[in-house]
Amino acid sequence: MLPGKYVDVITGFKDPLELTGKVREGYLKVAWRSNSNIKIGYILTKRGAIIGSIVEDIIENTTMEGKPAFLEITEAVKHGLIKAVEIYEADVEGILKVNPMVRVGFGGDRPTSGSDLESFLSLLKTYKGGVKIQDGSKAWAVYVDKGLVKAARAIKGSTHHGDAALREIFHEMGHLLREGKYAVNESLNFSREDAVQNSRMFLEGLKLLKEKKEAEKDF
Amino acid sequence: MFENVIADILRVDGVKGVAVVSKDGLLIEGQANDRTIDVENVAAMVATIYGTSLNVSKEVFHEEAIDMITLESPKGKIITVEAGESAVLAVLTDPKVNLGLVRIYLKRNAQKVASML
Repeated sequence: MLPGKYVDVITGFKDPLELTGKVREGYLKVAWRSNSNIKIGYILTKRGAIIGSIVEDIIENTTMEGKPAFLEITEAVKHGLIKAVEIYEADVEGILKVNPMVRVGFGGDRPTSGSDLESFLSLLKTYKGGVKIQDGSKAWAVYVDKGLVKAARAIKGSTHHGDAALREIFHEMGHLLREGKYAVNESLNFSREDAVQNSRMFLEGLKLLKEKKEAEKDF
Repeated sequence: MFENVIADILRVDGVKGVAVVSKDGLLIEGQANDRTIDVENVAAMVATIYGTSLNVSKEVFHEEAIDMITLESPKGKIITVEAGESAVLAVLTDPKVNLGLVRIYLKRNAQKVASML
């Protein structure tokens, strides 16, 4: 059980992960049946980004933390097992200090390896704010809004803005996925010339890339 | 639909089963961590206890609301609270359960059930 102030319980949603924006800093608490057990899942969120996760098995009295817990929750979401989401306000950094294992390894201020494509996709789908992407001598700032990339610009290595900056990131994607990093960054500023016209392109492109990688794995 | 409520209460030490029950005795959702407990059967009896207690409250106190009903036996307790207009929330516990803690969890979760129904 995590400390926190109960805010609301929500039913009738499309995707529970879309509710991360309902609280500035806190967690979503969900529960679902798994065979004859009941599991509780916590998704720790800060400014819309998913920071940490815990799953507790109530009957077996076991706990899972971090990314495996988050993946288990996303599986439950995928199968439509989650019918209600409780929202709590809480000191997320305080929770992570007490138990660092809860951190999912993406979505926080710490850089995450670009090779973790699934985590990168989760961040883009749920977060609203600035993300810094780094790849060797190049770096870009993008502004994401729950799946849409609304602004982009190069901050190191070139001077591209908007769609041209996004195309450049795609051009470097192969290397970025091997050696690059990304991190949430609240201090990034964007101007009008950074605006992206085709704001769905980036996420769609990454999804296709993920499918391609999965298909390649099968062969 | 009430997995969140059930899981939250079931975690309390000494709680053996939780049920969200319609006031006419139908089990809406429930779970026991002891497989010998027939949750559906308990649900029907809980509704009976609630109905009878409500009649007693009306007769004796001239009051049509009940905060909480506690049935204590040497082998366990059944605690029931109203959860909105059409349901009650009940727990089945060990005899030595921390009653104060169970009451807090029940009250808090009864409000959630009421807002979800």
